[in-house]
Amino acid sequence: MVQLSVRVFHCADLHLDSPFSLSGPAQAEQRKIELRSAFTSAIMVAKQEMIKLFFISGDLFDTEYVTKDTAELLISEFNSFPSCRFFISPGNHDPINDSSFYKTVPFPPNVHIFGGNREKVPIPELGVNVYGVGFTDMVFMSSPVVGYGPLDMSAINILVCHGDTSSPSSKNGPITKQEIAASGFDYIALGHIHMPTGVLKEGNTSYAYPGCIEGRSFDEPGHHGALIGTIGKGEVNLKTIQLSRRRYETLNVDISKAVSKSSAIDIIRAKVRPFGNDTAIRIIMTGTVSEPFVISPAEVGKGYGYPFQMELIDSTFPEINLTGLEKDTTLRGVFYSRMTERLGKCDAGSDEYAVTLAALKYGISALHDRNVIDFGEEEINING
Amino acid sequence: MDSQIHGLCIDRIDIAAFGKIKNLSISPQKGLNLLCAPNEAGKSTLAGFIKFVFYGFSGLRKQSISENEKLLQMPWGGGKAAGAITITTPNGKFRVERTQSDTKETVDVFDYFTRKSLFTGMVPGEVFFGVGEESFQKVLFFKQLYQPKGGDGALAEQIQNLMFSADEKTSAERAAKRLKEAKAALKNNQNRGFIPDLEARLESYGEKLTDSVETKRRLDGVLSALGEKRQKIAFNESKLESLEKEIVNIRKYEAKDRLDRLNALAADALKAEEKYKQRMACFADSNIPETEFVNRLINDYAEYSLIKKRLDETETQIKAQEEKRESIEKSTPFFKTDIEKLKKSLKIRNILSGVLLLAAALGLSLAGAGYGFKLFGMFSHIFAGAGAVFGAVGFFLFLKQPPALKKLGISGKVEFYKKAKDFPIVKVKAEEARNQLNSLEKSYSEDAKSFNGLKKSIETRVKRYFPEEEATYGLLIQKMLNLSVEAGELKAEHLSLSRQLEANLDGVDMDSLVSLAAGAVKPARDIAAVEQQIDFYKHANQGLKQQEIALEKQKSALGVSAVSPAVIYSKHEAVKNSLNSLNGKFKSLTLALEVLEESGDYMKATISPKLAKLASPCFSGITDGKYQSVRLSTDLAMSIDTPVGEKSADYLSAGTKDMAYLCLRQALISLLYGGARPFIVLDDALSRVDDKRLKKFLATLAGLSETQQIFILTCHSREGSMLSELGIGFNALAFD
Repeated sequence: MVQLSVRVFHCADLHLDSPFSLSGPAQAEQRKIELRSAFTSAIMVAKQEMIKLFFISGDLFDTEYVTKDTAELLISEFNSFPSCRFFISPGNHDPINDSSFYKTVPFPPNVHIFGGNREKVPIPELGVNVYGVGFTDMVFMSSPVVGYGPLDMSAINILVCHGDTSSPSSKNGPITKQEIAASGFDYIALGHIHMPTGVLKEGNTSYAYPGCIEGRSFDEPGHHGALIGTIGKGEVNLKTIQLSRRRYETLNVDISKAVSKSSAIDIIRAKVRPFGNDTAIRIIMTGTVSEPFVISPAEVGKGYGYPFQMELIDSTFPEINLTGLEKDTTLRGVFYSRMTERLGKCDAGSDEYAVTLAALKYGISALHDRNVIDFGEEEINING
Repeated sequence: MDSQIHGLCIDRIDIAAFGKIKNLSISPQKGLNLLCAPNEAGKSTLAGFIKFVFYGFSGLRKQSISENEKLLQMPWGGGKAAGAITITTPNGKFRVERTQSDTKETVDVFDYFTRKSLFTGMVPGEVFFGVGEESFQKVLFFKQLYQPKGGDGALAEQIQNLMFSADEKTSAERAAKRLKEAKAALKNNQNRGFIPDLEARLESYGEKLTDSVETKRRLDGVLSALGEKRQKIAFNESKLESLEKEIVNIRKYEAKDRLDRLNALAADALKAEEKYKQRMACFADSNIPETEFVNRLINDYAEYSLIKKRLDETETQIKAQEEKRESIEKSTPFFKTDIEKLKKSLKIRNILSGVLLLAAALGLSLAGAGYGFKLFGMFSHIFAGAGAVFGAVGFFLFLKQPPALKKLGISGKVEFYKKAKDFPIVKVKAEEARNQLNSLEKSYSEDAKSFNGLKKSIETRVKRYFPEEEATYGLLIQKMLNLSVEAGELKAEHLSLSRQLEANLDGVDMDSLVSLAAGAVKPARDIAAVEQQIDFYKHANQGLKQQEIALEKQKSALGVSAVSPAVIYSKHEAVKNSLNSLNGKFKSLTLALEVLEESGDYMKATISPKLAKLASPCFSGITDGKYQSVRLSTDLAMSIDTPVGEKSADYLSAGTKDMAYLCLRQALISLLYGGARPFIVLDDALSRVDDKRLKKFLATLAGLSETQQIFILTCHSREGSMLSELGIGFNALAFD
């Protein structure tokens, strides 16, 4: 058979219905909707690109939290694209067992869900064999890349699985590069690691983690998406497409040069300006300041042109320039001395250190007759 | 005055350009320096210049002119702010020069005498005075004398403020208040605030999460059960579909069967017709004889056959009779001969034989006797011989079959006589036989006549239908019969089948039947069994669908109340994170307060007595020894020692309290700067003091000026007048 290439879409780790624990209550619902919307966008792109094979390499949803709405959405989307073959390899967050949605909800015939046994699904009309195996529990101790027997080298062989290349002792499908190289597959569509790797190669086998489809916390910065393109015999042409509507970013902003609160805000604002309403940004204020500034995100800015979520973490250290006389004979000096003495006794980075440092800043701000209230209705998201 | 006693003393102020002032040089003296100039003359500018030279401009990033010293005090005509101050300290005499342009600032501190540059920093004030800019300004520059209102408590607060931060405006109490307010906003003593609110919310979310998880669990259970029911329903419907197909197949097969039967019937009908036609074709002109005709023919043929048979029988009988007759006749030869004659002959022969035998006997007897008795001599021999001969002949005659008999085939006389005896009977028999034979022949003749007639008739009739056939009539008739019967049967069959076919085809749409029958496969079982199963699955599905409806209702009910656990969890975690953050802030605020109070207590415990000690001489002097000393409690409540004992400062007049405040401020300066007290600047600080108090104050200042350089900047002339009036020496400064 003449080997042509086949158009594929590869995504993973969607974690539909998983909690956004870092969002405020009002944002949680919004983010959940946006995540589902990202999946819908993925399907739309796949339709536009006339994808024939759609791979979801695990963690499609969180079994603990998945709702019927989400299940219905999935079924509806799969049904809307009957000409495409969907392959799902359940992962550690959505293992396939008797109580999982994979068994209790009827998936349409164009969807194949890999079970606990290694399988081969031949698609002769495309000249492709799709292999795969799924998690049946939260752990998967063996390598999902081995154990498929001799491959038909006349066909394009693709493996869809959830596994971990970061550690050979991982409990989530440990995979080594040697195993990848020896597998014989033309492409291994992996899932589990949320940061995209791009297409890598070991031996003659290409593989990739597409990353999660939408970042859910500051641990998953940047825009996210999936891989789309063609796979042929010994030839893999996949590119990344962005599907995420929001992104999380962390910024370190040195406000050492700020001489006042407003100047500190100006410095922060200037750093934040390039980020638009699609970004949740965590601003870590760093540096040494002569006077602690109590700044709330609302003071930096909100609304159009600003990140939809802003978090300010004060990691500055107040270094008040006090002379010896002042340290001994002014309340500010005595307070500062006592607080820095206490700080010196704490382990840097410990909770106690953080509390003590904040106490120092509060005290100095109060002694400067400045506002020490760095919290409010918005920051604490009471109205959620 | 001794510079050591004076500490830091400005010897000269040279302003090249600063604010509205240009090219001004002033040479202050130790002690009191009075600059009397109208408003907007530049008094505050001069004060600002002093601070500028030692500390530079502050508030450079502030937007407002009043807060941004650079904006406020750069030369009005443009250019650089520049100037210098010559200052005498216990360590020597120095000149401090500072220049500030829009972009560049330079500071130079050098020994006045050696011109050696001594300082490379930008804030020489910190070196000279040992305090930062803020402390310098707040301690040494008096904008006005603070006049506390509201009693000793207020004074204590002001003292505390002064003491704590060298700035009466900075209030430790206010700081503590801010911290407490922030704490209270988080959580107050009534357990109200953001933290309790969040705790309540967290608890609420916790309950909601539990409910949500439980609801989800139940919903999942319902969905699972629903899925199971639907699977079963689908399975049953699949079975029903299959059974319906089986029914359809059975119907098809029935149709096929019917069609086959119809086709078979049609085929049979056609076949019957063909057969019938074939049969018809067997007859000449396809003319099938009537049954009656055939029957008659059959009868005739039967008769013919009978006659023939009879003829044959008769012939056979005739033959048999003939044979019998012949046999009878042959059984006796007497039919060929005259038996009487023969009898006679035989009788003669017998007689003869007898005679001979008798003769023989006699002869022999005689011979015998002769021989025996030797009677007859030779005659015995003759007798014997004769006897023998006679005997022989006699025996011969007796024994030997007479030729006539032999000719008749009679073996002997016995037989002859037997036969002759029987002959009448035989003759009768023969007669009978002959009669029978005649009868038979007559019958035969009659029959033959009938036979021929019938034969002819039959022939004619047969030939009518089988003109060419060469076979016996019987066969032909049989054939005719068979054929006609067959034809009749075939015709009947043909007609019957045609009628059947017509009846069966009546109202039948063959195309539909053919279409319906297409694809039929022989069913494995009958329709009843299939229908029974259909009933079973329908009934089962009925039950399952009811269960499905019930589960759907449960699902709806749960769905209405269901909240996504993920959303609840997110909210719960968000609130928890906020709560953790606020609790951390609460701890920090608590710690800040604690350390603030601790620091305050420390300050009060250590500095109060020092301040009191340092303030007492000043106060005693101000009060002309009326009050020897002041005390400061740890609460910073001021009291005075009176001849009648310690009294609260509340008993002091307002003016005395002012003096007390001044003394305390001076004491603070002493505390801060030790022996090397810097100058102080009173910038229109006395404008609101009444004349009486002013005199007192000026007298006090004069006292202080003995050990400290004092600048009095005023827009009024009364200070100068009063000083003169009081005989207090002072250095008059001017802007020109």
